[in-house]
Amino acid sequence: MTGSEGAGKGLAEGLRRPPLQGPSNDPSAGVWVRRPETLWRTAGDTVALLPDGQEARPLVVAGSAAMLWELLAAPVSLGELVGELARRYGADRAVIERDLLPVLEQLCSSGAIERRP
Amino acid sequence: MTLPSPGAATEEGKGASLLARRVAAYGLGDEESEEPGASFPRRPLGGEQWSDLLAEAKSQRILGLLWSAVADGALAATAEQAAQLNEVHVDALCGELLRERVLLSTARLLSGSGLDHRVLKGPAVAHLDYPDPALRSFADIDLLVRSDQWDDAVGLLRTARWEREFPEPRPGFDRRFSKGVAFRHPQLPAELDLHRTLAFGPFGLSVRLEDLWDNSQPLTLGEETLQALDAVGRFLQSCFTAVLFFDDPPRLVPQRDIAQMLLSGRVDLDRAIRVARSWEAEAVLRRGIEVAWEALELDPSDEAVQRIRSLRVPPRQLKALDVYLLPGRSYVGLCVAATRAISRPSDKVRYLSALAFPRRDFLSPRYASRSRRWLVAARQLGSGSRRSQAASER
Repeated sequence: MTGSEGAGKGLAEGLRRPPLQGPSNDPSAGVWVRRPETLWRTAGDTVALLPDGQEARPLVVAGSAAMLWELLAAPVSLGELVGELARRYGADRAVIERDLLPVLEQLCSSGAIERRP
Repeated sequence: MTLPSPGAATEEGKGASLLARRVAAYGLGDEESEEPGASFPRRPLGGEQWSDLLAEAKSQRILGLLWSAVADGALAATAEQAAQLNEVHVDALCGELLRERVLLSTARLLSGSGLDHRVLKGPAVAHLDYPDPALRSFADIDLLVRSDQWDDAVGLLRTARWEREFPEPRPGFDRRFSKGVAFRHPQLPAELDLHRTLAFGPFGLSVRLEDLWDNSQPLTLGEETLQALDAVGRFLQSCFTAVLFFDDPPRLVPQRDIAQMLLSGRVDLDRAIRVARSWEAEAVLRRGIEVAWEALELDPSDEAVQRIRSLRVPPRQLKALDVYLLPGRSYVGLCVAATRAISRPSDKVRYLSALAFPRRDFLSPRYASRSRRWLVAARQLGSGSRRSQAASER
């Protein structure tokens, strides 16, 4: 998703679900973290990301992406992410997790973040 | 002798609407203000006014500040206007990320060949002087390289398919006298300005280049750390950019940069004044503050501002400033004035002969023939001297 396609949409809206990447297909295993070479900017709830090697079109994630990106500054488990976002939004953990997983997968496959064991 | 009153005989800020200038000032001194954004209209702008402001914010590189003013609720906007602004702003941010990636790869290319460089202007100022880089838009990338490594840097860039916008007048001219060269790449989404000094003409030639290299500040982009000018260097460069334009009036963004840096308190003012004096550029420093404070309607009683405005500027510098600022200024006039800043007679000869008898490929994009160029130069010099005389009589 590029440009402002995602502006105003939910966390996971508009993102295709790619195959899981990383050492294990279990997203609850290990921790998620930004890749340090990713360039980024935020504008309110929107984050524009340019992973290394991506020369053409930055990835734009809207919705609650800015908060997610802030949490991904340090390695964090899926459970911690879900817990923190559920707390901040006052939402059900299951709903948050359902929305969150495709976003993490997309960010990971684009090279913006990585999952570490 | 005094500086001309800001805006009287110059074009700084010309064309920038009052509202755009207030956007450019947004957030400055907010900690002292009871009501940030009080100078904005209370109601959303009409469609045409909004479109004009949005277009102006893009061209003045203050889109991030406009976005911030609307997001904070300081500038009223309809939901549709806010959504439109968000879209344009995010697109601009994407462009800046792409340019930063080009900056990193270009810096890596230079480093790989042992060529020193400093990041100038947009990306450096955005990350080092603003609380959020998204507030400071930029549209190209600027790198400073050493004079004695200039030819190597240009050669290296050309092997990487960067193409010069204009050829060199004579071999060796750029590394001795040029401000810099603009490059374009057939595939990369950025223009690259390679700099040797900070300005064209006499003020660029009197910059002590070693000062630009003696101090630096790390600039981290992604996981890489580049070197930018230090705070004093960035501040003085912003003054140069805001004041010493030639073709087009400068945008509001260097004026905002000047205020942003000075009001942050991070500029060592004593050192900035010392360095400006050693570059024979107190006039540029003083003028930069004047145009920024006038355009952005800032409090002129600020202590640092008062201090800079009270600087005594040698008449010789004022004359040099006139060459840039007087209406109808000419390229030839600037070149002639620049010879006064070249100390060695042999260099003066090299400079003038390169400009008088440049290579044919330097001429061809601009003039039909060598004789046509001489004719234009003579006319420019004639009208320039008449204007100088009229200005001095005034």
